[in-house]
Amino acid sequence: MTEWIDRAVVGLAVALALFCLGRYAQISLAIDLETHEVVNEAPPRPPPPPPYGEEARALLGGLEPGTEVAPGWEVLRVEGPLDDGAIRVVHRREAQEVSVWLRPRGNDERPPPAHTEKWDVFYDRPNPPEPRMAREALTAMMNNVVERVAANE
Amino acid sequence: MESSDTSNAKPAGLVGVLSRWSVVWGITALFVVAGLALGLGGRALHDEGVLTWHYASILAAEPVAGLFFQKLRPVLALVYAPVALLGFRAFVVFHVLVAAAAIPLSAATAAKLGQRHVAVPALVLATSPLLLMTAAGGHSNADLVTGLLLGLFLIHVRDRPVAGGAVLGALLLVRSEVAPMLAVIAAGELALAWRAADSPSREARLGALKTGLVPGLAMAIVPVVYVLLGVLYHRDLLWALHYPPTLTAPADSTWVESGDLPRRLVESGEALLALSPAWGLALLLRPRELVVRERWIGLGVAVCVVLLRGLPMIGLFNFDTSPRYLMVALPGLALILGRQLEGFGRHAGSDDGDGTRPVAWGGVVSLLLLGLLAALAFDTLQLRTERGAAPPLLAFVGVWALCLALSFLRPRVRPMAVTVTWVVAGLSAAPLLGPGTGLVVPRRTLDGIATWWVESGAHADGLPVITNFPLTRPWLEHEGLLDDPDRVQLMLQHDMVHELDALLDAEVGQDEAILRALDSHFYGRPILGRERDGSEVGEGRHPRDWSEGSVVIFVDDERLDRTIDLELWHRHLDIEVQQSSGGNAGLLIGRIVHWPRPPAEEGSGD
Repeated sequence: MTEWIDRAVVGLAVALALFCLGRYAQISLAIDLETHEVVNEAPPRPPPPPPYGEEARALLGGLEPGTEVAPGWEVLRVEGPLDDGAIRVVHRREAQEVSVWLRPRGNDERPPPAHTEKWDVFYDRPNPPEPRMAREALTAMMNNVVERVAANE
Repeated sequence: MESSDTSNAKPAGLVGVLSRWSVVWGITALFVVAGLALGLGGRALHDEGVLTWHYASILAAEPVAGLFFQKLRPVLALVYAPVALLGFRAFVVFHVLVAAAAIPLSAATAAKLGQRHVAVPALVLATSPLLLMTAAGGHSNADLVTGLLLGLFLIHVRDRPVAGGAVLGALLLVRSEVAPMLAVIAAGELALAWRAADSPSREARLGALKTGLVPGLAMAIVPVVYVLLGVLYHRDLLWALHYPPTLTAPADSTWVESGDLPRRLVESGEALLALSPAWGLALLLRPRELVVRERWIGLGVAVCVVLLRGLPMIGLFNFDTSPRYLMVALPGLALILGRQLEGFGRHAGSDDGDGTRPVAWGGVVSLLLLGLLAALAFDTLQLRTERGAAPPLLAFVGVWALCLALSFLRPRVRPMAVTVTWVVAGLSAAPLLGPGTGLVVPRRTLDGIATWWVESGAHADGLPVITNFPLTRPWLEHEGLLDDPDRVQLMLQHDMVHELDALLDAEVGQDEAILRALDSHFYGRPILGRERDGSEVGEGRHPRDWSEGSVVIFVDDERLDRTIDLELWHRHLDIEVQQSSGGNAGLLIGRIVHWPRPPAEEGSGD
């Protein structure tokens, strides 16, 4: 009887070991394959930029693409108002872009670096981050937008 | 000292390897090399580990005020104070050596308990991911392991019950989670003394009294002397209660949610994996194989694990869920596994030759326990695979099941076969167990800081650095990028300020002394603040307190917006790095810039 139990325990223990280790290996390999599939997917094509609306143009005092706001930096385009009411001013120097965003005051949880009576003003990181952007250039971009909006809102 | 019924004859062959002291010393040497490589290479850097060094440095700078500031873990700080003065790297070297001392201590204690395979408890300790990481990181949890084994060694091997009891009692001032383990050890010794009191031999009765009562009484020596001396300093009889080692804040709800129990059990199983990849072998335990003292130690292990992991599941207590709290159970686990590998699986037809009754049904119980663990691991499979990882517990249940089968081999090869199996499995799974310790170095954040630090020229501009991230200074120093550590100022989070207020005795000037020491011996010169002086914003908490261009490095954890006015700081910040890390705290690096106020704000100040 005891010998029979011993044999059963050994057999079942080996079976449990093979089952657990095999399942573990199978899961690990499957995850690896899935990761490769995700990596190989092509990124979706971005949609065309939204148009520069009259309301935004009036708020920005007729700011036009091509206006230089800091040495080497000019306005590339203005987008909006978007569905959430935001307006985006995209600046460009060579291949580098920086956006200044206008959002209705209090609509964004993040604290704005600057604001007017009705608008919060944000900016994005330069894209690409290099070459390093001068702080004076960013200050000039922000002040250009803030002063125009404060005069027209 | 009692011993098992095992033969005293030296075993030969493969099994003999596990009985050699040269193997124990070899394991210890490998542990030291690995610990030093991790510690000095910065791969075990952790704020709680660095804190042990800071505490020792503070005690060295302010010995009296520091000694009676329980938060510093004063007994441990006293041990490390002389080395702390030599710098963090010297501290790490010493800390690794102290932790490594636990390995031969476990072997010596196991030998005195009558175990032949003295290398087995040594292996359990040396292959513990948590012991290695906390040894290299500087955590006091590793000192707890060494302290427990030193106490047992002094009592049982050196026959110094007073010294051993005093060492064990002193651990209460190092890490309070040791209390249940000490209570069980003391109860066990008392039970042994009680049983021996009926012995007709006077010598046996006196011996039992000595080993049974004295250690328990001696455990009170250090805490009592410490508290009495503290009365003289604090001029308060109840100072230890008025200024406790930590705040007793109300815990968050920890009640088990519906269907949550399997996940919590698997999490606990994997936390135990970080303690030892061999822990599951305890499920194959035959209590009959243990001597009485080992049974009490095993009970202590079970009590600690249940208290630390089990009771929070039903909302009775709430401990920190970090796996390193489980390290109090590691010495006991090593000692019982050392015994178990000698004899478990003893069954009919074996050539053990001692005539013990077959215990075949024990194998069935073990198999059922392993099956239950496997079922729990499978129950959480879907959740785990969605997160991109197979549960390591599943693999180890397989290894332990294999060990169960191997335990039915001939006794001469059984311990070696089982030991080799779990050591190989443990070593091969080491990368999986790293994250399980909860002590992984946040390299993405630290590399982000170091890269920006060099590329922006901040390393050379000499401007102040304001941070709430404790590892900023240790990491920059480790990388050799910080010529002047005094540049770094630490924005103390609101809860830290509150804790300092509550735990320091202002009436005897302890707060001034400790804060003075903190200026030189902390993650950075502390910036206190509004919490400390009522409703006012303290010096350094307003961005206008800092010069243009000052570096700000914030890790945006949930406490930051309760510490400073984040909106105000953002308005004065030229953000240069903003890094989110998928659910973890994000990194924000910028420089103080005092923007010209927009027209709408003219006349208003911030």
